[in-house]
Amino acid sequence: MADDEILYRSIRAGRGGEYYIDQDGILRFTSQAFNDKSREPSVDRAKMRNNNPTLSKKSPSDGIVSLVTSEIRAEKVPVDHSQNNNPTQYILDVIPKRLPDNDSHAVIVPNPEYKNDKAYKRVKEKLAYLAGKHGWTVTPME
Amino acid sequence: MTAHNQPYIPAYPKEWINPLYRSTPTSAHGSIQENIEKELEKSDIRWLKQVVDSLEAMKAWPANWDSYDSDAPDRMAIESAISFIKTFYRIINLARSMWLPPHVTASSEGEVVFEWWKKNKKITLYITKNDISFIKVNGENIHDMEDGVFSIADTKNYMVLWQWLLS
Repeated sequence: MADDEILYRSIRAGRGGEYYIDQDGILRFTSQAFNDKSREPSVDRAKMRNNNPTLSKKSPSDGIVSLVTSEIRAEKVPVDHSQNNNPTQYILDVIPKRLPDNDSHAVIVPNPEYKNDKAYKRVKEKLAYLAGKHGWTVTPME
Repeated sequence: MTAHNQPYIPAYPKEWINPLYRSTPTSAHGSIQENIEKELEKSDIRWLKQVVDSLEAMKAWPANWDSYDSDAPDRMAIESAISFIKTFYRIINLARSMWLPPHVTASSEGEVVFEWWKKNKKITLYITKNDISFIKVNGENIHDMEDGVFSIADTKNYMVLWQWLLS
């Protein structure tokens, strides 16, 4: 995947609201908008969706945010000392992972695999920050 | 986001909302509890009721509630979160510090998650039935984030965390 590829992520408006307007009126995306049980948050490759972000909605009321592959690849997660004799630094990547019903599907993965949840929690904060920096590509329907 | 037909009125101790308690005499204007409930409806403590309602509603979230295979929120974690947020507010309120209501959601692992933003700073708390961990975010750089376990036993920890957010 090229560094300049745009990625779409569906953001829910309903249960567990994945965005929020703070007390200063600023749009914030919660880090939990990038939850993934396997710690590989899903995105869609824009060009494989014909640059039509609405195709990436998981439900009709969802909004869409865009991320850039290079922004994610630029990130190096700090050294994890939790495995005392084997400190690890994670490098993030985005790789295609086609699904039967979605050729555009890709996942954000670390190299090496996370040894625990701690580093992934930081990554979710970073992804939420990037989403907030770009704002909505498609606004959700309240 | 509430799932209740009846509003949930938390029966927390009166000293948790000292200023309100002092301003509501008991005999002439109803019981203390009635007055607290009235104050909950109209005061800035309305946020607390909304947060507790949100947490109670979370008990009904099924597994895969977010369509990303997340676990259902853990009920014991929810109870811990309700207790924690009341204590946190009490401590901040007694210190006469500005309070900001949290955003409430859950993680993939069934933890309750509280988040607060203030300008470029953010605090995320992950609450399980056994412990609380935090992440302090100060800008976009992952290297600048700080994480750790939050010890609820020492009230100074609440103020240190809060003052960091507001500073």
